[in-house]
Amino acid sequence: MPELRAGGHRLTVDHDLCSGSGRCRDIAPDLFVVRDDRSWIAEGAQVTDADEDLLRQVEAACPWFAVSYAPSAENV
Amino acid sequence: MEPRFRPYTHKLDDPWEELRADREGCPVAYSRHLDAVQVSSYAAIREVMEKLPHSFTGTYSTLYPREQPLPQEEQVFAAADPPRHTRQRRLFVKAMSASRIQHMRPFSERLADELIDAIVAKGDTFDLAAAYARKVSEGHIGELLGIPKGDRERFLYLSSLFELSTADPRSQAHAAEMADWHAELVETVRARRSAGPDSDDLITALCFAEEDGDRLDELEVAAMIRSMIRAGNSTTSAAIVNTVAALEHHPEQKAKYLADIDALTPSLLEEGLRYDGPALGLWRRCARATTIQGYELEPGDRIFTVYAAGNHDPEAFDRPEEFLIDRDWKQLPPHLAFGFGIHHCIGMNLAKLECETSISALYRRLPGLRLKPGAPTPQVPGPVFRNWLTLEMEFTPPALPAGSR
Ligand code: SF4
Repeated sequence: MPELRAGGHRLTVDHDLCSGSGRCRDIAPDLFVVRDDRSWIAEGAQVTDADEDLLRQVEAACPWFAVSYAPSAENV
Repeated sequence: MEPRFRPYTHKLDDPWEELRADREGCPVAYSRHLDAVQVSSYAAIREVMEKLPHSFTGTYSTLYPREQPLPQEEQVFAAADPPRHTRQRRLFVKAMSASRIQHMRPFSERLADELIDAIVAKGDTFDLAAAYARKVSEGHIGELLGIPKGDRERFLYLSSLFELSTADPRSQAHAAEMADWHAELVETVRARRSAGPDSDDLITALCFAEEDGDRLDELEVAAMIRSMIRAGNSTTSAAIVNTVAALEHHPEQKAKYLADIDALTPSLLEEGLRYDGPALGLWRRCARATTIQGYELEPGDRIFTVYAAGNHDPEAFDRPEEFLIDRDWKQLPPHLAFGFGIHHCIGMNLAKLECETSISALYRRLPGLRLKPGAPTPQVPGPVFRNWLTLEMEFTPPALPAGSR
């Protein structure tokens, strides 16, 4: 299951739920790629505090509730 | 400019020219015929979808142009707004996710083979809609819900009433039967809940699904199941029939498909849904003042998004009026047949599985499959659906055995 931990941030895509709709990639094209009908965290993607809003949007927009994001403050 | 699209009184078998005129001349415009703002271009429909959660409501029903919101317990899925919608959807996604639906693949393949065996046993002609597509859809829903085989026909019949009722929203012709159906469903839900959580059918799963200690009540479960059948039964059957019809009307594409069924089935399905998908359009109401492509909408304004027009938009798809089964969908924007955003069709994975197994088995096993010359192909009435109600076909026996690959 794709997971990215960086600077205390934690971003995951649950492949049991993801159905490849691509909304995550539409909203955050630098962070997600869609391959084989699933979303993956883009190679070399970085998550910083500045991405928090964007990732909250992705989390709320995923029609299959497959994206989870915990910013560093929630994650310590 | 007034839209030309008049689906209540002048629904066309081939609406593409008319929809092209509206998309080009008035992509967002008030239609007196619909008494709604008709939204016809890909960009405009996408903008509606983007703005759905904030600016529009489905609570007046997406299938009928109602004057009043639906009763609370009937506000489910597309007809529910967040946060109610979010909660329902959360409880439902697990059962309908791609990985979960893959468990149904052996059932799905077996069902297609059984139905083809039954067709072959009766001769060399059949109605694709009645003898195959509807039974495929009904069978999958029955399996998912754990409805006993003997009751599945009746389920299908009741769901078809609802499809007819979208053609004339004022008609009460089927109201009593539809009310009976709902009452029956509530009974079924009660019975499943008291039987306990051990069965793995969807009704039981919904009865016992918990999210933060929160459970759905029985009326809500019944309404969700009913809505799922409404949204998923005739549409999936229509997706199969419409795709086969399109393939049969494009012999060079059909020849290409027959030469490599395995490789081309996924892109054939996408193209079938784009070219002639089951949803012609859906209703919504503006909830908060907004604009669509600059057109101002006020709270209470009714809109009708014409997905079929958006799916033929040259801004989104090259050569949109051509049926091309080998488009590279990885490089294309998504077609609108499943919608997108928070209301993205939750049955998509199931629908795709059904279409894939049924269409590929059909063309693998029935040699010389073709339309029966001269047979009429009635189109379902009304503005909401595209569905050939019968599609008479014939083939050249002997059929290939079940499991042929
Ligand atoms: S939005 Fe959700 S379902 Fe769609 S591709 Fe991204 S993770 Fe998967």
